[in-house]
Amino acid sequence: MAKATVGSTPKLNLLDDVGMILFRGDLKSKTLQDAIVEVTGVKVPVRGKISTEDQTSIAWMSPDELLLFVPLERVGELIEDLNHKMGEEDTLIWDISDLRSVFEIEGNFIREVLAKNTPIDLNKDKMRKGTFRRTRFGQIAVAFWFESETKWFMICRRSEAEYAQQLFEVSSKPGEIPSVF
Amino acid sequence: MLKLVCPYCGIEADETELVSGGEAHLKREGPDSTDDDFEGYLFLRENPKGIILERWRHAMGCGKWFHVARCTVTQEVFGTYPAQTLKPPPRIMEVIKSRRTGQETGLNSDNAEKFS
Repeated sequence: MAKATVGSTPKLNLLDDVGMILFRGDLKSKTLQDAIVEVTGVKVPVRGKISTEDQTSIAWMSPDELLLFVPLERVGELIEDLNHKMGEEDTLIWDISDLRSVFEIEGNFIREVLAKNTPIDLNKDKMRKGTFRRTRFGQIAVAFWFESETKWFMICRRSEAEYAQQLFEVSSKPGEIPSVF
Repeated sequence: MLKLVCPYCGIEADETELVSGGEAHLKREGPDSTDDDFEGYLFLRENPKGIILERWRHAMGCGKWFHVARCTVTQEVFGTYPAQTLKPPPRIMEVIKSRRTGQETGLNSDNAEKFS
């Protein structure tokens, strides 16, 4: 039996200044890769990863989809630039800032709290820095990644954000987190 | 608990992250088909005791459909492959043949053509 942890528990904070752009297209295309680097300054990530430079991150969502995290006030301008750079190539570039919620999770024992509600392997050798893992959190679809052991991020649909918040609160009560990782 | 590797994401997804889509490689019967063929296409599904080819969707992930070859008796998974194909690729067939022989394959005259 793992011993219960003591001390502070992780906190979940809603970030409301993150702009999100959904980008669908042929990820192998040279035009697309060039357009992304030129406009955002970040390289297209490989499968299952997220790449970050400064305030911009790009996550690999599926073989034909990327999710761009950018400062909220730059969304319009970036979409225009991307559309221009992509020219005639088949793409869908869409502002989904209002459709998704981004959470910042800060504190100790984050892996433990998440492990209560998700089926993925959160061991340190599997869930590494740079990994962008889409999975479920309780009953909702989410994705996780982290900057450091004490600073993680989670996205979900905005309509399900309240559920995510409440579930996280219940799962992170002091004295109810087993020390595992 | 079934764990399948999504051929698109390359990650091992848990059964609860997936949605089952039933039998794979159905042949669509269109407006020119007979009533019997159309009924078969719509409603009649195999329920084999043994090897089955199924469709699954990585619902809590990339959202793509893919195919799985597995055994309903032993819960053994032979492999997964992308959905853009009419029959299982040779690598999947090799795995099945290396682990099953003759009668044990569970193949009968109805579904044998799918595997050939």
